[in-house]
Amino acid sequence: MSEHVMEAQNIKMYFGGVHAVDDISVYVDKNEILGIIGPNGSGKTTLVNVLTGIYTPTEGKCLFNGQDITGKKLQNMTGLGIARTFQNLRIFKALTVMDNILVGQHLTISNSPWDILFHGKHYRETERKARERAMEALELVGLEKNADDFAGAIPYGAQKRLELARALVMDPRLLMLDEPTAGLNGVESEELMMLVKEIQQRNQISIILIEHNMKLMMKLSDRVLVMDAGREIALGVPAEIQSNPVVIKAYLGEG
Amino acid sequence: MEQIKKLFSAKYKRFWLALMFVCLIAAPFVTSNLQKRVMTTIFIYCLLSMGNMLISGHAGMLNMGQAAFYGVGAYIAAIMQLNYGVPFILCFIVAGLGAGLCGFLVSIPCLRLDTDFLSLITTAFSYIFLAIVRNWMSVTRGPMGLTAIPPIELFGYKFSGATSIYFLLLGIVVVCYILMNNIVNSRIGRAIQATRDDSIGAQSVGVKADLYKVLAFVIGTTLAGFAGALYASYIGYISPNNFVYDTSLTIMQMCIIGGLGSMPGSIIGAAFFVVMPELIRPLAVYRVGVGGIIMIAFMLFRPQGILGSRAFACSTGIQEKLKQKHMEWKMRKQRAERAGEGVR
Repeated sequence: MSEHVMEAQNIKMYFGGVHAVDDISVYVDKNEILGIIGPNGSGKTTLVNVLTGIYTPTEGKCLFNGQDITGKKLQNMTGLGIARTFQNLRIFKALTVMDNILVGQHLTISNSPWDILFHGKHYRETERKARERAMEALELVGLEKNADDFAGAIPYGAQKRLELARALVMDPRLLMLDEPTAGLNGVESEELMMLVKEIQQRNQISIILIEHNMKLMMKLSDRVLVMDAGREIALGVPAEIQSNPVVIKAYLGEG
Repeated sequence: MEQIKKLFSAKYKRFWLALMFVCLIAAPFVTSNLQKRVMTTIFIYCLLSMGNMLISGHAGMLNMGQAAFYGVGAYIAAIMQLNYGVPFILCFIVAGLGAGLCGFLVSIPCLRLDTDFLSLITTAFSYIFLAIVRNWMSVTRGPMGLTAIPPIELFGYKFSGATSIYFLLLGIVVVCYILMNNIVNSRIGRAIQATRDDSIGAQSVGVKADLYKVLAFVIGTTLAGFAGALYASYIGYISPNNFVYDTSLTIMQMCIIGGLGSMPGSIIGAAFFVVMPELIRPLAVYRVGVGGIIMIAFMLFRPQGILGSRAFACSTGIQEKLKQKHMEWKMRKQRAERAGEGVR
């Protein structure tokens, strides 16, 4: 049991009569990439929102390293080591790229109120370290030249990478990426996903990945969960999924 | 043009700052008493607009009740001095804390609301405050106001002359400005701004959004309380008419003109809106209208304010749009030319 980094047990999320997520049980192991695919409106994002505490599930339990985190608030998840990105970018548009990453280090920068008011020695020290780390993260995603630009002013693809960098700088043990390549062209998304893979292998983290790009998904994920209308219709290694008749039916419709 | 731009670049920042300080310190020795009083009024409004800037500009909560918090501070300080003879320094601190406490209480229901409705709550607070002050005759003497508030006295020194008050307030504004700037450029300030830009995004990196909204509100209103205590002792007379809704609007205008999300902007805005009515005094009755026209012109040509960040204003002014249109037109023309060449 304890090897699972995150485990969802019989998650149900109902909005009135709409069964957005209906009885999903899934787990992620250490160093594993779990892909979630499914047609639009099949409850993928809702599932991730439940796992990160944006919604409290109607029924079911979420465990993180064996610890029950059901109903915990989103803001408390980061402290545990869960980071995520969003389908519709949630970067801080009026802050500079650098400040965005510094906000990402909110929990690791420790300053007393005195430090914050008077910018003492300790403040300058922590700030310098934080900036160095932020610069490393920006270099990783190739945004070091944009550090002083407003986040709202850089291209869409760069904003996506910025959000990824913001999540990475938190040193998560579990990273949830909600359609990281949506709106990117083929080359860009390939680059981004290769980057994700590289980071995953280097930092030994687990990733839950929602993605529409089948080709990339099959290449990257260790296991794939297929959802349709809130239900799990298949779960297994990519090769199995690709030949699963139920999945094909869900995606291509009934012949 | 390029050279002028260069003069204002970061390289010469220290020089301009030093020059400004020399001017500010030399000013009271060469100006008339009226001018000194105008400057002192600017300083008081600086405190108010800096507080409002943190709330409205950085935390993105539209605070339309800053004058009421200002009034809370003023009345607390005045009543403590008149009825109990408490020394000024203590009144000053209690006034700040009292206004901050009111800010805390108002901000709690505000957490559930978005900007528009939040402005309604703060407006409501502003009217509740006025109703209380106007009708609680035994304590506030209602519309007659409180008179004969003793001048500021610190450690045995009486600040009664225009010059001494000028320097005291200059000192307080400089200290507050430095502290506010430090807050904005720290972990807390970044968290506050992140919450403004995207609350869920901020929570996803571990920022406790509600906490920082309340914190911004409390800090901003505390500054208003300080300003109130200073105003009461400086003028020596306060009445409900000093803290009406119009004052809140003026403070909001200062922040918008200065540029939401920019601390120096709040000071420029305060200076602008105190000096402007004095300059156009000959226009007498049309003064308010002129203020309105200036606001509209600003919204059209520079919605981000004098110093505001471009990103926060989202859409830009007319001249930017014209520039864009011109660029588009140029591109289209080039494309047409290229197409023409292709045909040939």
